Amino acid sequence: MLEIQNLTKSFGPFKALNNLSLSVNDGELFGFVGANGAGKTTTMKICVGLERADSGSIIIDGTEALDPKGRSSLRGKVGYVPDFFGVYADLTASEYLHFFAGAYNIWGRDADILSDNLLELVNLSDKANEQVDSLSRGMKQKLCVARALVQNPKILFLDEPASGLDPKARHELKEILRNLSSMGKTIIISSHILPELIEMCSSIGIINHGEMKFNGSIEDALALSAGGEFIEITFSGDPGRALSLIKECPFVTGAELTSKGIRVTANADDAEYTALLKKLIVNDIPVATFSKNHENVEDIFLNIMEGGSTNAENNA
Amino acid sequence: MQKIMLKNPVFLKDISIKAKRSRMAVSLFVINVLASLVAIFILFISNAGMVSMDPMDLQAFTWIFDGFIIVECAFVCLMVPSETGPSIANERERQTLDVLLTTKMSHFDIILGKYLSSVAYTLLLLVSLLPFLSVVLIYGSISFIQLVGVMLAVIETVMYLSAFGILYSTLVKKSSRASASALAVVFLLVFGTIFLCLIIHLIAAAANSGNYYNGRIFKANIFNTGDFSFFLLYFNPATTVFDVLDKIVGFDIFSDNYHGMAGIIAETSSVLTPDNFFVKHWAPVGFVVQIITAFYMLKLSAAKLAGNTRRVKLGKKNNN
Ligand SMILES: Nc1ncnc2c1ncn2[C@@H]1O[C@H](COP(=O)(O)OP(=O)(O)OP(=O)(O)O)[C@@H](O)[C@H]1O
Ligand SMILES: [Mg+2]
Repeated sequence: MLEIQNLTKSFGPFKALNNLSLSVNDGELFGFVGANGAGKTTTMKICVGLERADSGSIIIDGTEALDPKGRSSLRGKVGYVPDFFGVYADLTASEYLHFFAGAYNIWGRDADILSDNLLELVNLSDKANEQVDSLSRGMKQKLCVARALVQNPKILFLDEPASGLDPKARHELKEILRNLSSMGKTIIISSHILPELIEMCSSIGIINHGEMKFNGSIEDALALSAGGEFIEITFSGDPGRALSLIKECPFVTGAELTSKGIRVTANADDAEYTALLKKLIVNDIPVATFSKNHENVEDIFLNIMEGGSTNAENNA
Repeated sequence: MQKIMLKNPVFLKDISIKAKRSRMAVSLFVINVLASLVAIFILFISNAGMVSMDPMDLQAFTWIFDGFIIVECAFVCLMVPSETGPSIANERERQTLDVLLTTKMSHFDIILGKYLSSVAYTLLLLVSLLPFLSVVLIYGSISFIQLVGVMLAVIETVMYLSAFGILYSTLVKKSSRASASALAVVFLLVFGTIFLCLIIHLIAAAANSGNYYNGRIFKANIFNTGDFSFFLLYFNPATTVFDVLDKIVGFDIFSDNYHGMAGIIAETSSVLTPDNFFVKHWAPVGFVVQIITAFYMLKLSAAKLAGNTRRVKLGKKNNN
């Protein structure tokens, strides 16, 4: 459905996107992850035609989006929810949708039906005649999603749709997006909050400094960082020779001092961990806690981001 | 035209928003009340409702009418920048423009919707001044046809100046600064063109300084270089309104021959006679020049709408 290849975009001397490539299959719920300033918004804006690319190619539904002709034929197929609330203050929710229906040449009875259906889809039917102004942030965001659906697009770009929403609103938005996904729409959601995307997305792309670091399924992403197990040891006094003692063990692959204590990575089974703990205690090291941890999702992605390009397709 | 307006979502949205704002109701009301008070006052001072046939009285009413049109035009000059300045800039500030640009509407349609709603709103305010004008009509000093003629000139002026306002609203990011820039341009058009015209004449006169002290030769000699600058005044909406006003109602401050711009130009130029086609038909030619200019301002606005994205060529989407 979406195939971006070698997309490059500079703002003056600054390279915002550097040979960015990614692909999203039909009907997928795709999470587009990256830190602030990574280039998510820029990528999306280029995809919906609001920003020009320097070079590269974007195929949406078989049409080249960077080509002017292709762009105008895509106008009815692409929906976009920007990272701000593009709502007019002096309109009601229903008038707001009617306005955009008009912008897609839908008028009269058709527009009425469309507006009602969309408001129902995002659970805002009871707010149809309320001023957009008076809606809460979450409701406005839902209204924006409804607006992006006016032209019944095949593919939907949502730029940080969940930012600033409380957990309940976020959950509701998630339900709406899952619902849309089950209706066969391809959805691309950007966010810098990972766990949020992992819960609902079928695949993800990770972007850092304008470069794609990962593009593949959630499972692949987690598998990539399967070795993310480590032992954390804290001490009630001076750890003394602890670090060198730990490093002596053959199964330990790495050990480092952290603010809390020592963090040990190892290729070991539980019996070997027991041996390690015993060794420390025998040597009078004041161990307070000794625990096996998993890197959390954020850390996993930080690792991927900081590491080189680990495109799942290349790895497979 | 009607089809364009009724099928332009931006126009419909803006008009409905403007109509909802209390600003509109309040300003309409205040203007109406003021106009009516002035009308009542005039009725009162001119023998309370007695229809006078005295030519002197009728001429006094003509002066009042002229004065009223001038005030109305001054109002237009202030109203148009404040009305058009924010129209696009506001959408940019509210960040609603981006979303609008991704829809099927062409850039020109968006601009046209903005333009037409601004023009319509300004005209609506002008219509609210009509109670006052009816007094002049009742007294019979101005005919209905005359009134329509002058009104058309005012409407054309609104359309002309609004196009500049829309352009500045597109070019300047902040709506307050867009309004200020549009106001500056209106002033340049009204006063700047006259000033420029004078400067060109002075330079032409200096170039012919040998003849400078002789009034007659002065006139004859500067024509070659200087007199064409009169045509710059086509861009000045004040000249077209004055031309109409003087010819069909009579406006005898500059000249009392009721020849409009031809009267003024003939007094300073011996070559551009009142019979010269472009001088004789000053207002119609001026209107054509101004409407074409307005159209190009709107085209330019559409081209500049997307800012750095240069989607001008992509925007060629028809909206039928
Ligand atoms: N119009 C512009 N002019 C100059 N630089 C820009 C422009 N737009 C974006 N950038 C730069 O491009 C980089 C990518 O910005 P972008 O908005 O795409 O990041 P993002 O991933 O969406 O970040 P965030 O999470 O903060 O929304 C940033 O460093 C930004 O400063
Ligand atoms: Mg962003």
